[in-house]
Amino acid sequence: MRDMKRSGNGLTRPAAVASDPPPPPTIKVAGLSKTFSSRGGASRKVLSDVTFSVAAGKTTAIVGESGAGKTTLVRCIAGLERPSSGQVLVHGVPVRLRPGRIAPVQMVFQNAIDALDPMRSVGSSIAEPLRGQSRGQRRERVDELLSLVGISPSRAKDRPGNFSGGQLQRVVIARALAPSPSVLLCDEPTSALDLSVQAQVLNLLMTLQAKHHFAGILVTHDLAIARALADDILVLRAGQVLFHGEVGQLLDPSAELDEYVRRLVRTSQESELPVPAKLPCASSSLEPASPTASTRPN
Amino acid sequence: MTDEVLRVEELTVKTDLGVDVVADVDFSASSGRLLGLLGETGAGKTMTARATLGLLPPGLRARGRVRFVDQEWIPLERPDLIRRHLGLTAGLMLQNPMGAFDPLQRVGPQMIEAVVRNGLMTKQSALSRASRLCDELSLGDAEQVFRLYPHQLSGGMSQRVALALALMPSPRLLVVDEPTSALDANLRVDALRLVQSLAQKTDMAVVIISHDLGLVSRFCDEIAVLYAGHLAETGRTLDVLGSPAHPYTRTLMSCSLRLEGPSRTTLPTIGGEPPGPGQWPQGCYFHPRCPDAVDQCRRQRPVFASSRDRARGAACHFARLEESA
Amino acid sequence: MTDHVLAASGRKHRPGAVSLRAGGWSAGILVGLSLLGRLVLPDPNSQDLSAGFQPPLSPGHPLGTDMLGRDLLAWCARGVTTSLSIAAAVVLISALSGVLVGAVAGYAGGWTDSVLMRIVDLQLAVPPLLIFLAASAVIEPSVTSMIVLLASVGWVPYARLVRARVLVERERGYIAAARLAGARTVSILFGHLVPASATPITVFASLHVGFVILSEAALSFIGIGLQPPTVSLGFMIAQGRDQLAGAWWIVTMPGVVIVMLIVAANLIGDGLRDRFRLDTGETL
Repeated sequence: MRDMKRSGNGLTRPAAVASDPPPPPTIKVAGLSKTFSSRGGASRKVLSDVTFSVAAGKTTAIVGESGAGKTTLVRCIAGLERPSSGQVLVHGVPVRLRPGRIAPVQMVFQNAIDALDPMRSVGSSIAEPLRGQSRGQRRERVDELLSLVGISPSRAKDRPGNFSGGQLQRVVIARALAPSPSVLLCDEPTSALDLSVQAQVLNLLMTLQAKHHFAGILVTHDLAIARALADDILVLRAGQVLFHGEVGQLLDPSAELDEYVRRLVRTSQESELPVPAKLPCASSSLEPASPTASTRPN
Repeated sequence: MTDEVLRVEELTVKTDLGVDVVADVDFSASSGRLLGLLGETGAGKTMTARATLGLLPPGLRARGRVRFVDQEWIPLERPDLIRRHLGLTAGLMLQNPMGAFDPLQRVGPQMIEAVVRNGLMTKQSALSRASRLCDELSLGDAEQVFRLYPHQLSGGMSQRVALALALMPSPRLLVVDEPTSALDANLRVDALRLVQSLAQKTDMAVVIISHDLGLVSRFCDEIAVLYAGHLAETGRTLDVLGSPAHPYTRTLMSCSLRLEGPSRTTLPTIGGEPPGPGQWPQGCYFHPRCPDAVDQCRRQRPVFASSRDRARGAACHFARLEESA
Repeated sequence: MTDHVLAASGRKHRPGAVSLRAGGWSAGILVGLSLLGRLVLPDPNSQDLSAGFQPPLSPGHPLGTDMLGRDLLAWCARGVTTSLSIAAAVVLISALSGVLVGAVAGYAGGWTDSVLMRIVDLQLAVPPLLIFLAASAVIEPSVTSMIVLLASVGWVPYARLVRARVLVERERGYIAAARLAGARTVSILFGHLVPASATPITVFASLHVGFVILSEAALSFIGIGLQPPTVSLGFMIAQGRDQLAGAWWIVTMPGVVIVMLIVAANLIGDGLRDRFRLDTGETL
């Protein structure tokens, strides 16, 4: 890895002093494997030796098609499922879900409707991870979180049914951030959203990460979204990591890439808008319709 | 020479309680060409397609008229008359490909059932047509496929088998509903490429309903952009994307993500969310989210205006419609 | 969101409204009248041998009397209260225990689930009538014993219903989120999973009421149920069994009341089922 600082995000960063060691990664996934055995004795290896780490304030994207093992990987990282071998360490401590203990990895789910209890107010759902706080403290924090994600705090008592898809996803994000997690794991956070709303949610995630410095893991099937949000990309196929590196490497025609990875990149490019989007400045469009236009005969 | 296979005029859909879902939409589809009906959630694209085929769910009513090939106009209030064309002149491919199949029967009998029952062909000719379609769609050994049950088909195969089923009566028009959701990206691209080549080979008109701007822009010759139940813009895809006349189209395009591009920078967005039925704003329905909105946009609803040759149209007070080349 | 609009469209009346209204009114009238009756009417157990076999519309006995001169209107009115209070108690106890078992079995899975479900299977394997007959040989029939017996078989459907629902719900995102939030198992069970089952439980409970009323009447009819001084509609039907040719009203009056009660309960159950089905988009 070259140590030239990329100024892709437009921010200038002071170059690190040569003698400073890099800070330890917030989350470390080491040799994660999972095998499912069914009754007939047949076993299926869903994950093989997945290894990567993410530092605070950084995001790694895991890209894969259906059947690649993304769901299992997500569950293992969050602690919802135990891997057959390997470890997930957050700040050096293995992730293990215990009732009564808040998980260090919080999640943003693909389908916001599924991720919220339809019978509870959104405020109540957001407050669920706020354990050991007084009612007043919880109320304050919920209001704070709602404002943070761009929803009016007065809506805390409304139920999920009264919100749109994009708003619900913001609520899910608010809940995930409530316990100030070290790691935010996003599982296809925008697949269920409209295109015009997708960018809002992605921007929100980036802003929040800049502010709170959690380590971000984004799981998606969409390479373009991965590129937009992540510093680092992992390509998963049938439980195996076929590529781990920066986006630039994926697009580099001279790079040595697995055939599957190449095809993935090609397909992604083929599904994109072919013409570069033109963004005329506002004033040029403020002209009344030209004389060549005619209204449709009624 | 392109023949018009479908023309829809003044299509309006309302719920029984009077909530507007789609208002005054016109469009047409020509043989050998693909029309993309593009819209986000709540834009009304699915209801538009359903009304066109006489398949509106209970509780919704359509107004307007539709014409298949050069036959008589059929009022959209008479879905029973329209549905006679289904399975004959018009085929439909659903979002969930397996929705077209009875899970308890093998694939083969289901493929030939409809055309034989409608008297379109004998069992023999139906079987041979089905085999030929399987060949064209690269489904491998037709005999083997026919013996399978629907659940035994893989994702990609089921999409192609559903396509074959829709194509059995050699329809002049194929309507494809959201060919994007259930599949992986490469399967989607394959499926659409297949549809595109079939359309050109058999002079079939295709209407693709989708929210996926990238896919529609790649595969459709013509595009009709729907927003809040109204037509925002229509025209040839190249023209519309090259110089979008409606701010919605323009801003939507800028939201579309590309693989080449900066990482970790703020992405262009449109503020707010698309309005659903019953939530249409006053004046121009896009004005609350439009970066160029002025006072007139708040007060006056724009009329859909077309260029002289009817090839381009947009509903914006400030649309500039160049004549298509 | 479009589904929301479509669901609300084209429906002038909310689904199930007719059934709910009809059932609600019938039940309300029956209960109201019977409560009124307790204040106004004579003691149903008071016998007047000189006024036996009075037909309906006799002076002082609008519904007639039985062979011992007991006023049938008073009997039916008190019988309604008996039936309903037993039904309420049985449904409550069955529901509470069944829901608990089902929720724990569904959420815990594994051995817990297997063991609990085998108990359910055992319960189902024995015909309830056998249990009642055996019990009646040993226990003195009373309101309490009747409630206990009916609840002992009544909890099973709730357990299965809730378990089935929990098996589905526990895979949902918000349960995973609750676990990540550190929610305790009890919180997840009673804060999320049981409320999610509230709909099918409610619908089933309302139908269960009708079933309990019928069961109690049947048991009292064959003699292993309630007996005087407890006022049971089923008991009275048994009394009039041999008098059908002559004093038909002794069977008919309590019989009609039982039918009215069950129909009311079923109407409410149907109405609730229709109302909830469309709200949640799923069937019971």
